[in-house]
Amino acid sequence: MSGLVKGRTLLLGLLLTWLPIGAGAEIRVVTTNTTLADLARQVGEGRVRVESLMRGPENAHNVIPKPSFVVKLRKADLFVHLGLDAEPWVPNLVRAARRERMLPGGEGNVDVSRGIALLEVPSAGALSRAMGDIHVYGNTHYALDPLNGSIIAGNLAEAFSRVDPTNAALYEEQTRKLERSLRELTDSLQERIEPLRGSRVVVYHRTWPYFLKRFSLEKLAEVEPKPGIAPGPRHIADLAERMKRSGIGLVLVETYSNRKIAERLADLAEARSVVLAQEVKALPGVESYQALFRHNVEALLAASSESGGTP
Amino acid sequence: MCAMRPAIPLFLIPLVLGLLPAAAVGAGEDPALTLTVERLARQVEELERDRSKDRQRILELEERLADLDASPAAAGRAQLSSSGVGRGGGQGNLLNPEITAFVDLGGSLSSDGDNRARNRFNLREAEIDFRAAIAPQADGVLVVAIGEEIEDPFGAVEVSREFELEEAYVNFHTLPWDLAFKGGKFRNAFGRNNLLHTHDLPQVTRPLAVQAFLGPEGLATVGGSLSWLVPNPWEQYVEWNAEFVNADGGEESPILGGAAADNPGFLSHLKLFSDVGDTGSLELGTSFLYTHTSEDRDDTGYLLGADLTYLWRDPQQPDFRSLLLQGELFWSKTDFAHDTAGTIRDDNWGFYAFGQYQFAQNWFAGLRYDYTEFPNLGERRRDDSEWGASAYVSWYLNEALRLRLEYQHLGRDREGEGDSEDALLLGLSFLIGSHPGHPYWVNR
Repeated sequence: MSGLVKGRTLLLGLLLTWLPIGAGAEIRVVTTNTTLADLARQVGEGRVRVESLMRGPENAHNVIPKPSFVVKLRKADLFVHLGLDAEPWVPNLVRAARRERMLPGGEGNVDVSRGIALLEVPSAGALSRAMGDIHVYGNTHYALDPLNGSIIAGNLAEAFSRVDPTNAALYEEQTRKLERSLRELTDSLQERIEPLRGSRVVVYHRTWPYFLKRFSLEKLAEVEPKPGIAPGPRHIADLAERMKRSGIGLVLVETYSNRKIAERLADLAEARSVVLAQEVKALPGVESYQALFRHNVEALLAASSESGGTP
Repeated sequence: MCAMRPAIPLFLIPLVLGLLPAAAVGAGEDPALTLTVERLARQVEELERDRSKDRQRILELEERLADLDASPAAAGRAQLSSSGVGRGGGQGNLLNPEITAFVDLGGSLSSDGDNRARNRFNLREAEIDFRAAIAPQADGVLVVAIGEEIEDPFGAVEVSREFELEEAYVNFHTLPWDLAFKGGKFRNAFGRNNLLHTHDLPQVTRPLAVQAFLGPEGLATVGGSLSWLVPNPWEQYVEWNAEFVNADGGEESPILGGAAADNPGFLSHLKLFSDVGDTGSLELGTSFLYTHTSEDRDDTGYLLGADLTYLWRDPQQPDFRSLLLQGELFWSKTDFAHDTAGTIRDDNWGFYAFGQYQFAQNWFAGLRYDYTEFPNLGERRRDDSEWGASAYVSWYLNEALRLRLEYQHLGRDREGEGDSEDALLLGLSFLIGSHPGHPYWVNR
């Protein structure tokens, strides 16, 4: 009898220790950027192992895929990217991985742009390089609206549930939790940035339309004469004049743009340039999606008070 | 469009309606509540505004749709489809390939004033690149080019323009067992530089050793190429390429050409890539080429190569600072028929090395050193050699236009006599259309 009990206990013990391992293998997720990596971590908390190909400060449009990216992709269950033409290096990378599931439409290929309402969609038939580095589907920096983060999270949860259906409820729950957190964050930050509501700013690159819209700021102009084209001294001087005339106090610049030019412009226009995080980990201390928005809002408020307030 | 404002209307409106009376009663008592109510009211106002904009937009789109349906073009389309005429052609331009045109202009001013080819502007190459998916697992590529050449550099200037089929292949990029297969005409996987088209070169000219061992424009042959991503316990990128091709790399190709052209050639390339820390990467490669160098297949020729590429990018501003170091070594052993001495076995070697530093977002500067001997079959240039030292600076307007200025000093030893030349070289490249990918270490 006691042998039988022992046997059962042993079996139960084995089951208890083995089952979670068998059913609990983590989903291996590779994301293009650090923002998607953080969202994937939050949606799949405890169930996913996430790695980002980009490190944070770099420009997503200019990344050149190294062979080591291929190695990472081949080991992954899911490859998460921004879709559209945000990361022009992605199509070559998924081909180089030689994994059918990573090809467009494959089970492992997760395009999180699904369901996003895009801004700055160019009108068809009017596309040319004379317009600079344009995005043919619309502006691709949609993750910089915290409420779009919820849509991305929904897409992630769906992909996680597809490869790990047993934990679908968990992913759903964690997505809801994230949605609530993002809604509360948006509300509190909108309140916080209230003094700047309706202010006009100058941005370096067209990185910020989603962010500006969500936080009720308006763009006067870009530092780049055309997207991706470096400004000349004349353009900077003219822009500084315009800023002074309009009383613009802030120049928003992302980490990968030429900060010196932004600073020079701000000096000329008696304004402040402020470096914002365009991705998680783009700046020290910006370790999560929520921290990115908190940092950016606080940085704007601080710069605005230094510049004596923005009308 | 609805996805833009997730869930707000559904839960906000009752919330606002519920809160309003409370706010009216409590106004003036709780400033936080007043603020919340004001914010919510504003959000509702914004939503209303957005909704009316959307409604307007839908009406406009509906009108346009109605116009389109009533247009003669739509009527024509309907007719075609109902009669079955034009079946299969209904996709219009949607499935056309990506098309890129590259133009590569050169200019040089040389101390060798008699050499007209070295003292003029020339259209080095105009290239058109078509590529598209053929199937989920396969792509097709077609690259055609027109190049300009001076017939006799020391005689009357006569420019010939040659049309060339540079590449035409199908690439099965995703096959079982981590394989990929290329079939057609393609640039052969020998070393690093040979894979580049002229417009992607890091300097104005191709390294002397590549020209001497693989041909003035590198080596591209017809055949098949199998690539295998070799699994390894260190989880590094290890790729092995094996190519079985016609040994016909063109008239000017020293080993895969001339008398060897009727024979098959075999190439192999092994590549190891590893990240070095967070910001650097190192690539090592070895190459091997083997063929028969005579029609009767009694003579053989082989070429060995080794290559190294190191790339570093500034971790904080990767688009502004980078360093690229690259070197390649070539060593050949070939039999060739000598006029009087019968078959002679000759061995030759050459190498190049360059370093390039990016000192601003759009600026790169570099130095290259070249040395090479000449494995030209059947020619009596077995003791000749050439070396060169270059310094260059490249400027990019954007990814579609590049300007380059290079100073080059060349030293030659021909049939025991030495001479030297100094030249100022200019390169201007631009592209029109989409932008196909290029190796990770090539800028833009």
